[in-house]
Amino acid sequence: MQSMNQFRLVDNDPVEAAGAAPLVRLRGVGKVFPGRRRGQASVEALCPTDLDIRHGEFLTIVGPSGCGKSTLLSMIAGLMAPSSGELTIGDALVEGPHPGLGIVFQKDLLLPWRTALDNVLIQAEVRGLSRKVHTARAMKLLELVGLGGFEGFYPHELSGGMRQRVGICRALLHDPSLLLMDEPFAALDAITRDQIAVDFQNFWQSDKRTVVFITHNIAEAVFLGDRVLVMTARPGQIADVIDIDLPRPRRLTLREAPEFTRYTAHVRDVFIKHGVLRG
Amino acid sequence: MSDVTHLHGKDAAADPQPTAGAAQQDRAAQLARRLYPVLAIALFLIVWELAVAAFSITQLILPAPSAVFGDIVANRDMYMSFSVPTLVEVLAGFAVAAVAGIALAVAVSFSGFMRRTLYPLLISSQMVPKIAIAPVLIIWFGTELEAKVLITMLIAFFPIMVATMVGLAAVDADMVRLFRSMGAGPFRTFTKLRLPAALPNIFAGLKLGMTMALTGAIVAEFVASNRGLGYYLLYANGQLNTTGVFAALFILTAMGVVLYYAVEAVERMFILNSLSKDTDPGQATI
Repeated sequence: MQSMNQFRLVDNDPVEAAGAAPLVRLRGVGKVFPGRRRGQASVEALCPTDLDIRHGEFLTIVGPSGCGKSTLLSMIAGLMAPSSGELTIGDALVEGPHPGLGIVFQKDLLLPWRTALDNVLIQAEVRGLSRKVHTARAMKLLELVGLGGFEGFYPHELSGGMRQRVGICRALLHDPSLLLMDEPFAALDAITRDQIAVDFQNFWQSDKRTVVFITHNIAEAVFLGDRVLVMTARPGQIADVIDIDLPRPRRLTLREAPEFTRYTAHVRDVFIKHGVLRG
Repeated sequence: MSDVTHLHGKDAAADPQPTAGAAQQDRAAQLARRLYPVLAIALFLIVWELAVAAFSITQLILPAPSAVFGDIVANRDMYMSFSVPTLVEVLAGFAVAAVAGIALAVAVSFSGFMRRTLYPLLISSQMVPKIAIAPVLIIWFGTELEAKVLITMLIAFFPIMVATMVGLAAVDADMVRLFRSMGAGPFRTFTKLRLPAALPNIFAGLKLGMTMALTGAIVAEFVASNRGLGYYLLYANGQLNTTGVFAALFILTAMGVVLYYAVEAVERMFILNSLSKDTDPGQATI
């Protein structure tokens, strides 16, 4: 099944298209998992999808479990090969993890035997970059996320929110052009989650890096995104794309504002229409 | 994000500076914890001593600890000359077992070919009673050091290999994904992730291996030797010198305990204090 909103996903506006080529381009990218046992049907995790991710945009993807959002992210990350279609970052076809990529996972995935600073620097060590050169940048990043003075702490000495902040610093150390975030705040408690979302938005505003952010929380998707991709399951597909026209910096109080709830209601209606939610 | 430090201040302050009095109490408690094992052993020896006296048990059946210690002190040169060969066998056998066990575990973990060929062979080799093949090894390698080191090694390497394999395999799949996303190949993933993550398991295997090495050396000396504490044990037994047997056992026990704690000391050098000190073992095993 072709994505029904294809015309809206691809920027066909000739003026804008000429202005800036997208950073990430998906054309007919789909993923089918073959049945594990004989006789078991294969599962279409993601229908062939067209999508352009623009330079410097904050794209959030919201959808229920099994809608293929993590599959989509894994394919962009080069950790999983698409079954069909063509996926490019910049001019390069994605065939493996792109070097200009940072990923934040749901779990903080910090190495317990390394301090916060050394956990950030693992990015440089694994990539064979100079530790020395990157130490100053790592310290600055930790300072930026509010962890100045905590660089010598071990993960078990930090709270969940602090650990995920370290994970964000690690993803940013090599100055990637694209930051992929797979439900990064989902494991945090609601209050910490709100705080880190506000903080991350403020940080992003001064940074203007391209972000693809996956969540199953509608409010979080609307609050953070320039565009919200609404995905539905069985088969995984993009059901709608919504431009979020809300001024930044966005404050937590915005969540009660009518212009905000209009967007969340819209997303909810898409889910209801597709049977994800029963109103 | 810099305006949030205060928000997390409470997290950071989760471990408030202990006051001087609390620190002193803490140190006293720590000292008591260290003292308990010593006291327990002392109590055990005292009960033993008193029981031997109270029931007038002859030295042939069960010598009193004081008699055993007296024998060790009186014949310290002899016991020393019997202890050194055993210690050499244990250390050499353990060293070879550690290198072989870890190397084989790495090979088996990395190569499907090795896992399908070498691993079943190693498992089968462990099913053969090592004491039964000891005489054959003596025929092949003679009664010198080599045969005894080989027997020691054969007995000690298996727990080291299995523990290392478990540790290398237990790495979080998401952690591996993270490393892959950072462009890490198998080598960097091994040195930066798998090996350090496996260290607690490896050391658990090494501690087991060290205790096995002691058994291995004694078994080897039982089979064929004219040196070492194993040989002396048999000799003293033949002479109905029960005190001598117990003296050798005391020395072996002391040797084993010291070697065990030596491995633990090395472990503490390798694995961060902050982790191994943690009372939650889940923390240390990642």
